[in-house]
Amino acid sequence: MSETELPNDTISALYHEMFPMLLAYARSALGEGGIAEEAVQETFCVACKRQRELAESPNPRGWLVNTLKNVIRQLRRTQAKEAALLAALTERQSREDASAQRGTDPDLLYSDLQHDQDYLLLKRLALNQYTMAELAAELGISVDACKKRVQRARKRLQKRLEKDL
Amino acid sequence: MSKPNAPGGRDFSALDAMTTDELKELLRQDSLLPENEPSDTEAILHIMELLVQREPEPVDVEGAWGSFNEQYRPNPEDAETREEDDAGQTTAPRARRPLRRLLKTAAVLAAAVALLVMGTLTASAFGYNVTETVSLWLSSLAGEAWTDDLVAAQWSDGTFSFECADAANPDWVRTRKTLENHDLWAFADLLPTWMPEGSRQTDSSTMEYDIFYSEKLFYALPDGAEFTIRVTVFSNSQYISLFTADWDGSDVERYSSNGKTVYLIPDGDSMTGICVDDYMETIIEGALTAEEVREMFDSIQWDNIYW
Repeated sequence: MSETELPNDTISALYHEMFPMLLAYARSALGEGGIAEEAVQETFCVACKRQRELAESPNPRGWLVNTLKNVIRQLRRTQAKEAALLAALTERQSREDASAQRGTDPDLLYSDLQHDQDYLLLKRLALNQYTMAELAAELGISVDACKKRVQRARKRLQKRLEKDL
Repeated sequence: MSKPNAPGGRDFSALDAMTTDELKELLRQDSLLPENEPSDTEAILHIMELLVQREPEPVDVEGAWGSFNEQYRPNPEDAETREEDDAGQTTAPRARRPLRRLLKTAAVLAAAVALLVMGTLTASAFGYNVTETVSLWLSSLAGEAWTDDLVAAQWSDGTFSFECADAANPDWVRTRKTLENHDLWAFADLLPTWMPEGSRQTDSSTMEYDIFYSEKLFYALPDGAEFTIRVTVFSNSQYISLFTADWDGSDVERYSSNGKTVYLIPDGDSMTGICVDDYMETIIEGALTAEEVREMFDSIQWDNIYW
């Protein structure tokens, strides 16, 4: 048995009708940057993956708005977590640097975060407000591969922080 | 007196009179509402339309549509996919695994992980030789010799139980660590252990995307009525919150089952129950009573789920 699938022209029609409106919402919530557009693109990704729910919804436009709101909520949560993670790592780095300067425990020194690829990757997203598409373009990989790389970087940094706590 | 200016007869003239900045602030505030707090979707859509009308330049929808199809759109039917290895290098396209193989792998992982945490699990959903697949997979993981120690594998009454004869076997210990490092999930553990009397599984279907793996099981009752159980496991907990739309409503019952929130949504003669956790979503729906759906959710052994 297969999931109900919407014809491609239905998705296309919904996209063309709703993209400007959803973008207006996303820009109001997230600002004028590329993140807003990416939130809308992500919303339509969810629509493609949840075609059954969308097809069965009595109000597809409302379904898309609710989905966008959830994407925005999750985006904010992820950004906040990433910023907190980077802040914790930076704070740890400065404490270790101060400790090393006093010559107390040089073995505990962190490698320089400024040369840590995972840290720099997350920093671009959380602090420099790169979109996933911009980051993917800079790295020369697909958006999907970029998402996976970011996930792995986040996980490694989190483990590294937890390990030393 | 103002006139209704929306299809539903609602009067939005107050919104029409607002400045663009005021309308944007309303949307911003709406986006900050708590997850379970419903907003006025009709009014929100009206504001969005107003903002689009007031844009000095139209949005390049065609450009965005091109970007969506090129960069974002998921394509589960694609026979090939590009994957990135740990070193950040892009590898050659790899053929997708056949559906049957995928299903098999899911059950094997479920059984293997359950071995770590409980030793016994309900795995009636998978109607094939779990013992054989467990042995095959474990042997490919850790070498042939030690799997002789895997004993007491039984398949009866929907219960699969087994143990390792030598728990200290270094190959087995290494395997356990490998499993733990891969964040494997216990799929079969997500299923109810209580089912309505006479339930019989009739079919199953599987969906796999980059962000989730989903198994849908179809059941028939003696009177011919049908219901389904769908379990979806997400690769990342961030995706789970995307799917909470449309659950609010006056007829939706919300209750706590062993610490998990379950939504019961009646629809004529059928009932839908939804439970969402950090990494998974379970949906039971069909010709069931609310009591039956509740009992099924209550029977899921959440404590045994290994993330």
